[in-house]
Amino acid sequence: MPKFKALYFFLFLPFLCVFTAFNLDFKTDISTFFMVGDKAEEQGLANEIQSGTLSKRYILSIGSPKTIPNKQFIDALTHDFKRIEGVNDVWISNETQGIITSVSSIYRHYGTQLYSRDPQHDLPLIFTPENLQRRAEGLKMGLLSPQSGFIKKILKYDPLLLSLTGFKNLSKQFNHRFKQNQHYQSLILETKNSGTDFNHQLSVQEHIQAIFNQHKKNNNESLVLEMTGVPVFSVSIQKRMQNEITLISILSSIALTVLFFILFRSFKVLFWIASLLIAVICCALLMTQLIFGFVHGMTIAIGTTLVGICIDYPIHALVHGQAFSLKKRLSILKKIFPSLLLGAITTLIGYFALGLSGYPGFQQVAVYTSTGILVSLVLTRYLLPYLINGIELKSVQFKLATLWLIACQRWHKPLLILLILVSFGSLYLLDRLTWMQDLQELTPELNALKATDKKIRDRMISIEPGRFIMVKGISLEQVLQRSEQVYLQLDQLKQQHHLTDYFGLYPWLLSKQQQQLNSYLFHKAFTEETLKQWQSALKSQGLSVDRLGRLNYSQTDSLSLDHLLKTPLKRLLKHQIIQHKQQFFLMIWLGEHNTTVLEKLFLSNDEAHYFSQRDMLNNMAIKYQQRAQLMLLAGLSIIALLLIFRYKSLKKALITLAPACLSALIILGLWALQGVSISFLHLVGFLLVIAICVDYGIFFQENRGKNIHLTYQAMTASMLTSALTFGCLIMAETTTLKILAQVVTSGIILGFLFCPLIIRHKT
Amino acid sequence: MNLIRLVLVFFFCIKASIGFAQESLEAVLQRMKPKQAIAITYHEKRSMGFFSEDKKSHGILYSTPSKILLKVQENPSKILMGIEKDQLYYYNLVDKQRYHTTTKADLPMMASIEVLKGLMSGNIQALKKKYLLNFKTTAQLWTIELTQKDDDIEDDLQALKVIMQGQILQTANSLIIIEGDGDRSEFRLRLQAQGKAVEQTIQKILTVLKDQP
Repeated sequence: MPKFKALYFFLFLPFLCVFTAFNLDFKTDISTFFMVGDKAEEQGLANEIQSGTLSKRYILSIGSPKTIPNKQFIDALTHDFKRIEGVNDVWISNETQGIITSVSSIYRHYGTQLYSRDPQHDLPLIFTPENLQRRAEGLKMGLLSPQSGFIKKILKYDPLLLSLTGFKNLSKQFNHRFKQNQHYQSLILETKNSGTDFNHQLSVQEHIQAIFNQHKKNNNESLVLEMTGVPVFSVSIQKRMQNEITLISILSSIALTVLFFILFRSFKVLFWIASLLIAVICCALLMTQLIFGFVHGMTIAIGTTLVGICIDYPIHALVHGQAFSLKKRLSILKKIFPSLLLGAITTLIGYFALGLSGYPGFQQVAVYTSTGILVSLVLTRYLLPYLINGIELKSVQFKLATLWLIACQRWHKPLLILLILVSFGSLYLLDRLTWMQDLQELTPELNALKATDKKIRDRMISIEPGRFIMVKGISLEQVLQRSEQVYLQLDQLKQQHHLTDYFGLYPWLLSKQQQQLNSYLFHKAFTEETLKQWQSALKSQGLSVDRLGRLNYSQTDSLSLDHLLKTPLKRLLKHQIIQHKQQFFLMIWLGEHNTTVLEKLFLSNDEAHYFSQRDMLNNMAIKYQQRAQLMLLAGLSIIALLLIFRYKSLKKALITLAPACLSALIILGLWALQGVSISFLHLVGFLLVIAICVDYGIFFQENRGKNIHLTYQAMTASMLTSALTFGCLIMAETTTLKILAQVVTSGIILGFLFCPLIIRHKT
Repeated sequence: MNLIRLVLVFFFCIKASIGFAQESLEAVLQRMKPKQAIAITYHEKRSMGFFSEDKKSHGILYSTPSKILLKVQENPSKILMGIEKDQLYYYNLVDKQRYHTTTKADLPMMASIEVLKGLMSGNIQALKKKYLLNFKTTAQLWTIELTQKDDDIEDDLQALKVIMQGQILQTANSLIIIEGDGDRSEFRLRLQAQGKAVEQTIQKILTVLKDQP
């Protein structure tokens, strides 16, 4: 029977691996790991960044400080970029001609609907004899200018050129919005797929570079191509993550293999433990896939540390069961299993608390590691003895561990006093602890990309990136109506010089309500007298009264956003409107402005918020920092309660918990001394430290093998594997992983060292 | 015999006169290609449906072998317009309005500009892709007539037509552009000057047009 169990497992394992590989949906988009908001607009924005229009666009900057890009070169590049598979459209960022053409063909039918945001004020001014005279004069100049072609197209439907009223400042606005930098030309490239589609975007970026290099070579140009946008960041992060997962997995696998071999000196044992761990990882992946529908790269990157935790149970079983027969091993395992189970439960509590922190990624990590721990425990209890049946075990002795154990016995009092002093010192220093205010500090590896992004945007755009007004509503109409109120407020700010300019949806679109009002008031104000004045103005300018003097403005339906999004104007407008679940959001871009004034103005406005992306992310970080603190305390409390329940003694429970808590406290004190800013990630690390170190306290406290020396040897092996796997994360470039490596590795080592000092055993 | 000689002389005179009066499209286009910078005075009459009367203006057209085209309107108001490579510049000196775009821009006037550029560079093949070309001669005149092909005509517009005329063995003295909406521009042309002095004038005008110091 034992042989068959091992055989069945051995035969089943490849199927499990193949099944896992085929059913895994792997994602590496960093924003899905971290970005979530409580407020609907935050969620909408997060969703837009992940998969909306914003996520599909690149800004390509072509030029050099010494050379002005040739128009033909740019046109040829644009033409070839459009032909890249997966590219939806490419256009020059400040190109106005296409827009002018669209304006003449679309807006000529909506002159009486879109001429004004405030018709009560504007109509009387339009219909004065002087204004009509000026209008006729302007019309004459326009007909004699190079733009006469597109003006004639409008005149047939809109002799007063009302449809152009809102656009008279368009050129000025474009000059405000888009900077003129003749040394650099900026192109916008929009892809079909989301910016987080790694394979698609990587292919697009490679093609862009190849096409540019070819054209550069053919034309002997000395220009440089730089690109930015959500897809650029996304691909860079995902590439790094994939490389790091591979590196960390290989490193930790090699390190663990070597360590394990040093520990047990048996290839057979190594083989079976490795097989067991592969089964554990496959089960963890499958459970995560089942619950979430995908597995994130960060889950796997952080989850590789799972191996270091799950290997603890087999190690304890092996160390305690060495040189015994199968029957004896089963008996020993049965004896120590309650300690392993309690340790697993406390670790699970820690990860469960992590899952409740709110970050979607950590929820995955919680499910992944919890599944792994449970499966490892079950396999250790019911399968491992059969796998290693007949194999003689003799684990290596860790002399340093033995020496430390003896030292803790011999110099218990002085060492304990030292520990108490250091602990109080750390407690005292906690006041100095600083919290990270800016989430950007967590991603220094992206600094180069951020610098390029800033450089490119500075060349082409005067809109303050990441700061805008977000108007929300339950329907598009409501959002448009509310935004029209916001425009009035922003106009006042412009007059008071707190704002240079803003870019909402007007003159492109007004709410249906406003359009209908405009039309109604126009037809009401337009009298016979007005018509005569207009005809007189036409005559004075030599214009045809017959063609322009009748003013038959027919009633048409209101212009809708859906209509506009089917025209070339969608390039300008699409990314300003977001629909998320049952809500609509409109973003009004801002030029240079006084942030304090705007913050104050929109502070108590429920319908429109002054939004800063950076502030949003940092507020989220503070929120999750507070939540992580709460979870840490909650996790600690539950573990303490569990131990009290288990030991029926508060003193014993606290002593068992003490090594974990003191290691966390001392590390915090050290950072406070060094002035290191800590974030929610550090708190997450501490949660893991406590969850793992409590296991050491439990194993040492209970000593179910009745041999404290053997128990501590098993703990040494277990500590080394955990420290090694978490320590491998330090090789990553991603700051998140490095922080976890530092916190958890140092915490585990300290917790391990404090056990014999705090928890007394008679030896 | 005298009668036969008379008939033969008459026949040969007629043949000679026909031979001297023979004109070909290639020859006309060759003459239209400027070999040095040229200045042509023009008088323009514009008939536009949106105006109650025809608009009249006059000025000078400039052209160079490097395909620079300039139009300097002197009267009724000073307006400069020019094309250099694929860039179009416009400057109204009265109201100081400037305008700059490319010849690829989707503006109705670009079609006629492209036709003129094609004619002056002799690039007939390119023109034939978009226009039906008709070349005819009479005893005194040659005429090139270009009519936009159906595929390129927008809805509710007619075909653009460009008609260039000149005396036999002479350069063009008349240009008529009939736009798709029926508006019409008629130019009477006369060569004024050519050479280095004209080239220098062209450069000065370009500097003003491009708003260069």
